[in-house]
Amino acid sequence: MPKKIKLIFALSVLLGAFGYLMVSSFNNAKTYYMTINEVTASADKGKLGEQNLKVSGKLVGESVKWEPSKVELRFEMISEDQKETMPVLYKGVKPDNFNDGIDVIVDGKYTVEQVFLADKVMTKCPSKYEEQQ
Amino acid sequence: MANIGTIGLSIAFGMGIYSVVAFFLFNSNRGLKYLLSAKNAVYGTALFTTISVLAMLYALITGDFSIEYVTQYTSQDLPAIYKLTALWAGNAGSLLFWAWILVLLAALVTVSKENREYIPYASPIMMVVSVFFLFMLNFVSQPFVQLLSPPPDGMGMNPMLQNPGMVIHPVTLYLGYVGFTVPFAFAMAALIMKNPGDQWIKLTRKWTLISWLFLTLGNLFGAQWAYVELGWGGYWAWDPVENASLMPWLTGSAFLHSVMVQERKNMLKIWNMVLIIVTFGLTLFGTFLVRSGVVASVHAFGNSSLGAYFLIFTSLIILAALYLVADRINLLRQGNQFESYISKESSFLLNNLLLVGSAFSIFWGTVFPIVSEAVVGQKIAVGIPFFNQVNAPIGLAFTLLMGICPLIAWRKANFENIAKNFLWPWIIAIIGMLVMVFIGGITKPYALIAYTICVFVISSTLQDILKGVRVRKKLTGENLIVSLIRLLSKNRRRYGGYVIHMGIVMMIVGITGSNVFNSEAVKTFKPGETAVVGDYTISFKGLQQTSRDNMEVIYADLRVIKNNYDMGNLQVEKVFYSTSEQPMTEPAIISTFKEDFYVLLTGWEDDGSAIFKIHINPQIKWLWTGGWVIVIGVIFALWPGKGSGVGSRYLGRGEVSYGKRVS
Repeated sequence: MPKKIKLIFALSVLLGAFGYLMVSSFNNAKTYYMTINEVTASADKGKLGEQNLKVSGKLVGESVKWEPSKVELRFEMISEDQKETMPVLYKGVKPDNFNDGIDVIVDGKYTVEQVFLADKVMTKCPSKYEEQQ
Repeated sequence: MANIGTIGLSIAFGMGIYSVVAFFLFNSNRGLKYLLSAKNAVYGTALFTTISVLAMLYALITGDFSIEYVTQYTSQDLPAIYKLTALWAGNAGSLLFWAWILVLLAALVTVSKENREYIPYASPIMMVVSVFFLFMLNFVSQPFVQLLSPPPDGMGMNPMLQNPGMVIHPVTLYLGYVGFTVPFAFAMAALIMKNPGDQWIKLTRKWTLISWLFLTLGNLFGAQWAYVELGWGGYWAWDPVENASLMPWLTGSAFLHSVMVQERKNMLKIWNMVLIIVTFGLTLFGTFLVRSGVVASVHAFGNSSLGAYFLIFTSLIILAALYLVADRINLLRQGNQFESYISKESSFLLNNLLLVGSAFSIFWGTVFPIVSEAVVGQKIAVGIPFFNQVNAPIGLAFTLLMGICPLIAWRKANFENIAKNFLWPWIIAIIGMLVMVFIGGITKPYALIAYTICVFVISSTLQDILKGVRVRKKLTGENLIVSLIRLLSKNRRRYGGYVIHMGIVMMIVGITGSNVFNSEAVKTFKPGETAVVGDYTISFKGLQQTSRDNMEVIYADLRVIKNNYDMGNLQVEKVFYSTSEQPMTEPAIISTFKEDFYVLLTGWEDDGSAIFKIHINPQIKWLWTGGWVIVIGVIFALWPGKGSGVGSRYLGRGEVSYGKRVS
């Protein structure tokens, strides 16, 4: 049955390529969800390295420094339990309603200088459109 | 109104259950009267659901704030069109809308004479799904809950939803989602009736193609809406909810192709069954993702308990369907085998594997955060690069196949023929590539490969049409135009497919251009300042303020000059709705086939200077235009009359009759 063997061979090449594609892309794009406490704790142990992180916390309003000429935003986030803060640097535009106490989610990496270098800053305003139960 | 709606829904629920029972009684030989009565119950369900929907629409348009749903999603100053679209703005309303489309489809299927044999099995399956939705509407997510003390005004609609996209995107997407229930029901009916031939495929072809079209449009309108409303300059973010609507599109596309192999070659029967089950399952899974709150997404409805019900129902119906396939596996096994690894059917199989592989990778990436949290306790997401890196090569391979599949022979093709057939398309593609490199100056490998493949697909498709015209001209002596028109209109299924392929190629061009060559810049302008970005000269005079309807608007008129050509004034806005704290940033776009100039007002300073973000997005217009080309292709293929049937030359030799094959 050489025909069937050829078919099976072709399929396994295909599957192999697909598997390789999945695994290699997966490792590049893996992002860990963490809280600020987890970030600082892991950073102390030097475990974060070059990992992509997604960190949520609350904005410290008075820490916001926005420089429109350089398009650079610096601010601090504070953990839910108010114990740990994390400084963030974002080379981008200040989001609307960037006020004290709103929920902020940042995507990026934690650098050795202990600053979170964000690629993306998202805000979640306490919207009344979401059903509150 | 609330009472009419509630009563309508409970009667519909009761009638739905009755219809399923009556169909069951008819199927166990209790007499024809049960069939008639079951059919009437289907129509009754449709009627009473329609009454509820009308009651809801009436309540929305008149602003009946005694109904909680109306209060939550509308306000008095909301424009009338958005009051109506509030029907699908919230959880309960969108379920009602879904159920409504579903029962209308069930009624349409039941009334059709063409489906006579299948109705006793296909209709109750559709009704089981309808009953599930009606159950949810009656007991879990009731749309007509009343407030004891009605407020004077409602809370208003989320500003992001106040966009023409809200009118058309959910409607097309839901029609697509719900439409796939029809082929699923017929597939299951065929299994129950032990009729594993291609009859169910023929009967549902129209439904499948139209559902697929709506799903395509739903995805495209959604992308376009995101592009003009969310203000990040892109149209697709691999958000879980976007993925939820893309996955059934991919498996549905695979299904559309692999059923042709069953029709022509009487093979891949098990595969087709599994594909339609998976596609139907994915449409329900999408609903689960959107409503369960298990994934964070801009599109998701708030957390609710609906998710669990959907998960349980979806699992049950999929398990039942798979059990049925397993039980009838011997019937499905009968049929032909692959005769050659290089043939049209094997190229279709490859196309299927690519589409399903792509759907699988998206599924994996979408559910991974849930899985990782459950298994290792750490929530790990996969970012956009994962989806792009996996799906870009798959997409290119898939596009390449679009140029190859239609031209190679059924059963057994040989290399010499293939080499001969594809000689010119490859020569043209390579010339095209050289032109792009040396004249167009394109050096990015991904774009170059993608464009070259697109040129290949276009030229191989045109070559095939040309060949057909030449043969026809020789045989009939007609002139070129007449024979072209007759050739196309006599094989509308085939050439409609070609038109759809051209639409997809245009979309691939748009996706490639906008992803590979996009650029962005952020600039702070002082009043009166002028700056140059790419080919564009932008002057800013100052910010202004105005108010309209239910909003306050801060805006800037930007004067844009492109290559010495005055493009006029662009009004870029930041809109503050009275019902929302979060302002909306409305982009202004100049769209051409070469590129989109996309500008956002992102903020301002006390000294009157304003910050603008400018995106240059090449070729996006190709993506939207490709969508319209697909619409033309589908209409061309489906338009009733001669030439839309399946017994065309596309199937090669051998006439096909219902259920069995005569060749």
